[in-house]
Amino acid sequence: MINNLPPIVFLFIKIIAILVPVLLCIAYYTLAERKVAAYIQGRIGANRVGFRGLLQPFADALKFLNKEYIYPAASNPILFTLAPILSVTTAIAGWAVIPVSPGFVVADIDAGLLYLFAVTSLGAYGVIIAGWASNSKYAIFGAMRSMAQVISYEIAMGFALVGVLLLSGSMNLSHIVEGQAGGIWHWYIWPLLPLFIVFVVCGLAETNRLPFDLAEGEAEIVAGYLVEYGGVGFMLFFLSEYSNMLLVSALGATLFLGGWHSPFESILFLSSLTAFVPVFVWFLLKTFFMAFILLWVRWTFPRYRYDQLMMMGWKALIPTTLIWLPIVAIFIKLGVL
Amino acid sequence: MTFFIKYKKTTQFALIAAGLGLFVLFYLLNLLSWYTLDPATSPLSPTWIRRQAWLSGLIWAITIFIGGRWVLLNKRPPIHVSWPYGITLKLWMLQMLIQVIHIANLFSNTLRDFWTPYGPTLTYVYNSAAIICLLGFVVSYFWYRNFPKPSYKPPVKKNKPSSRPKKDSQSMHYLKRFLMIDIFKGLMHTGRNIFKPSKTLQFPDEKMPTSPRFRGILALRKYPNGEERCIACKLCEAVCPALAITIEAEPRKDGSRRTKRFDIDMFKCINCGFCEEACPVDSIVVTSEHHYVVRNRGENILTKEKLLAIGDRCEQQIALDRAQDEQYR
Repeated sequence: MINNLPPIVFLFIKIIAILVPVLLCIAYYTLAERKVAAYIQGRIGANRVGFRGLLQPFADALKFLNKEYIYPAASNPILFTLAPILSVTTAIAGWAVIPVSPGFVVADIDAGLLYLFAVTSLGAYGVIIAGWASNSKYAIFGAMRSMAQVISYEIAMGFALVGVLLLSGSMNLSHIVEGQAGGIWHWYIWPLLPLFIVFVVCGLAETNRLPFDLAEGEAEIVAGYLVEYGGVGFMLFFLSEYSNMLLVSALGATLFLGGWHSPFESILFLSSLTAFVPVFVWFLLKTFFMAFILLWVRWTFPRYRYDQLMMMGWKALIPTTLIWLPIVAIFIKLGVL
Repeated sequence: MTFFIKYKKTTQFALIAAGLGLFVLFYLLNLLSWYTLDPATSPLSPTWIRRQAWLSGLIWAITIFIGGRWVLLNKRPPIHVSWPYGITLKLWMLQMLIQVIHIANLFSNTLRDFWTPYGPTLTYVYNSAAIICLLGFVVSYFWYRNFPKPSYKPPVKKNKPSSRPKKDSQSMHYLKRFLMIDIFKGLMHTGRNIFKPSKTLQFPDEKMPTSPRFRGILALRKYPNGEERCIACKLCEAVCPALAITIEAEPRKDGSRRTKRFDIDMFKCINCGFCEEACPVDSIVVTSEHHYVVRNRGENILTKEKLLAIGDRCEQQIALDRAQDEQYR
């Protein structure tokens, strides 16, 4: 019956099937963030709304939606409204190319990695427009910081992904995952371990997370580009931030941790023991593991100073990738990898 | 004893699950490692093999259950100061390493064929080592108990007394930064915290326990027969350093001396408890009640009726506190 549907309808169903779980994951990711933070700090965390606080994300969303939409008199109302929309659209558009299980991907395009890279970079425009349209000094400072940060960390991120391209020889994310078949030892994380660390650090920086959240450094510039936003606008920015984080986690799971492949593939005894697990569960587990690392890092380290941020980007991450890429290339040429 | 440290329920559950899981895993893997042996030529009886597999599983369960507790909570019994403990721990780690290598060989076809004939011997060796180690841990514990501490030596005075950690050399500093050692240390610290019990007091549901000497809001007590205790001697009024008490006395109809007015200004009261100490009949007391608030102007004056009402409400707690503190008064 599904094959008889017009392609556009089928596509629409696919989009819904990806989008709804993603939004649910984002909602519960906010709760997970609060819970992890609480546990790390010896507290309990949100536990009042629903069973053990499980309805907390929805209570938060309803609270935001109930608030009045206000914008400053000096701002540019059109851009001010456009910025959060742009931010959240690009954040969610990236999910189109993430392969959840074999064949289950909204857009199976050959330039998937380039598309992701382009879309995540576009997300920075939401921040920049928000900063400019707010017409406030804190907001513009936050936007400028975000811009500089994205520019310098995009390079290292790009190089980290080049390593994956070298190994897989394809930009199609499904092909990249297929290249990692055959158990935990065939994942790209092992030959590309330094690049994986660079990728995680850059992912933190790209999503404006602590320890790189200079764009909204509360101590110096109140809330950065978010300073004039409240209610729905704030919620959309919040949504896009968490969506981006999950996207980076899913990307890490896809590129470095073998996507939907089970870690026990082709291992005697264990592979047959875990054969009943559906493949997308492995993908979800890896994504959540990466997402947990992002939270863990956030609640461990203080914010970098601006010059430290730049030094780390240009003097540590980029040289690491530049050294590691030729090594990987040589090993591929020698036929070792 | 350290074994009874308090944990979160989830931590306990995870540790028990991990212990059981490892037990089953290593039991099965050990059995599996001899499947390739020919039973006809094998000198080993199935009972022996099963027993050794049990032992191996048990060793891992013990390791993960006790070791996991120590690592997660960063707490271990102080026996590590004794030297038998150090030797035993190294032996323990060595036998675990051999076990892991032995099991890992299962997953490679060539290595498995090579190692299979030696498998039982290996198992015998490491299982015996583990038993010796367990004995060693017990011995080192009692060693520590019997020879607890080296005699006290006064700290040697250095020229430069410094409490700071030693500074790394330049190359060590760069190496540490490159390998992100401090970063991982920080992550381990917060990672351990996740498993520790939370210190939150969920306020409206739970309340801080108060000491029997807690000095909260004031109250007037009554005798068990309902007669008020206060005899209007005005000692409390006299002793009050903040002048918060105002008393007017008058004979009651039965001729006894009673208060007509007994006002305490809670804005002036400093909860010092002198009035309680001055009172000859234990009438005015400080209670452990401290969640009180003045909402309207004038409510800060506690009149005689209000004080008696508080006393009635808290009588049980007051009596309990007084009884607990009895022998120290």
